[in-house]
Amino acid sequence: MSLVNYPSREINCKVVYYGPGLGGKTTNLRSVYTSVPSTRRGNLISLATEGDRTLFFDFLPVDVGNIGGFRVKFHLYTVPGQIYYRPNRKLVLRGADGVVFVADSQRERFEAGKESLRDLYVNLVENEIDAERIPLVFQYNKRDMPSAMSMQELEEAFNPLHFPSYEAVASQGVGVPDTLKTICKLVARTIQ
Amino acid sequence: MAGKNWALFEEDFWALNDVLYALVESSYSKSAMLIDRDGHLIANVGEAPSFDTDSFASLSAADLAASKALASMLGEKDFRNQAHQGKDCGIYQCCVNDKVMLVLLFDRRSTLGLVRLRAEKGARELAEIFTRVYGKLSRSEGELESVGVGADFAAQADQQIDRLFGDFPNP
Repeated sequence: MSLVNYPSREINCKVVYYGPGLGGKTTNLRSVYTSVPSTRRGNLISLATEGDRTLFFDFLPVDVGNIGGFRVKFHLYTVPGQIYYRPNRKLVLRGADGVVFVADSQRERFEAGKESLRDLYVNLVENEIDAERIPLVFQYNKRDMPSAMSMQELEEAFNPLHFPSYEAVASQGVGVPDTLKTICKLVARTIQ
Repeated sequence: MAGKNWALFEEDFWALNDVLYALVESSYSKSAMLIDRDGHLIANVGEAPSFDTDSFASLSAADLAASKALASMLGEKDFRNQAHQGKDCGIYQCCVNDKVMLVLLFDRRSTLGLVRLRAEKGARELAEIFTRVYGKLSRSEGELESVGVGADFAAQADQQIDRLFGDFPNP
């Protein structure tokens, strides 16, 4: 839920990057971190295992600036993608204003992506978030990999309702800004 | 909207701040923060922190959420408070209600016992104010737009977002 703080003229929104393990969620945030001027973002916090796998979440606050007299901030989170961190994903998803689903385009990761999408919908419902109304953007990452499935196949499998979607190679920053811009705009439209 | 936004207005903000100021003074804490369960900082009084308050709020909310999840595994509704103490400073966190938590930062000028004692009283006073806030919001559904977030907010947001993220270097 966005917090509109009138006395301090601030609006805070929460965007969660969701998807299967090793799909590129943390890489998206790292790309944003290195691309946005340091005056407009905070530190990238990563609660990760020794093997650099996300344990709880990554967090990056981005200050979009003054909009209509309010200082608007987007708090970007990732969830841990590995199956057995489901309780952690549910906690991180709580209060989300928008979701980016980062799918791995590689054919061998297709089933993991489908499982993660099912998990997303279950966790939205359990967090009492309206799954049909929350702003959602799909990102098909790792488009440069040899086993990448076609966009048509991916869209049919993941995005039959035609939410906005982007191709990406997050490790090179490709598709990262477009994804972020779209989810932020969609979330901004939900603020009353 | 996917979920309901919530808002804090002038009168309630200052009422909350008054309680926080009194709490900092009576507990000899460095600062007091109100953080919502989604990790947003609502108010912060006392010494200006030298760290990124957004990150601090996010981690505090996650910390309490994790402890609540652990409580649930043990059959408890929740753990109402928790403390972390280092060599020179400490953090005390407690629930104000289901949506908001109170965090006090303290150092050697105070003790955990005193902070806990004052925080419990302060949390009750804060909870009463939030009950008023939620009451107002439930009565004024649909009125938020007239209070400040205008109809052209989305259009301005589009421009601002394009301006910031449009400056991403080309890959």
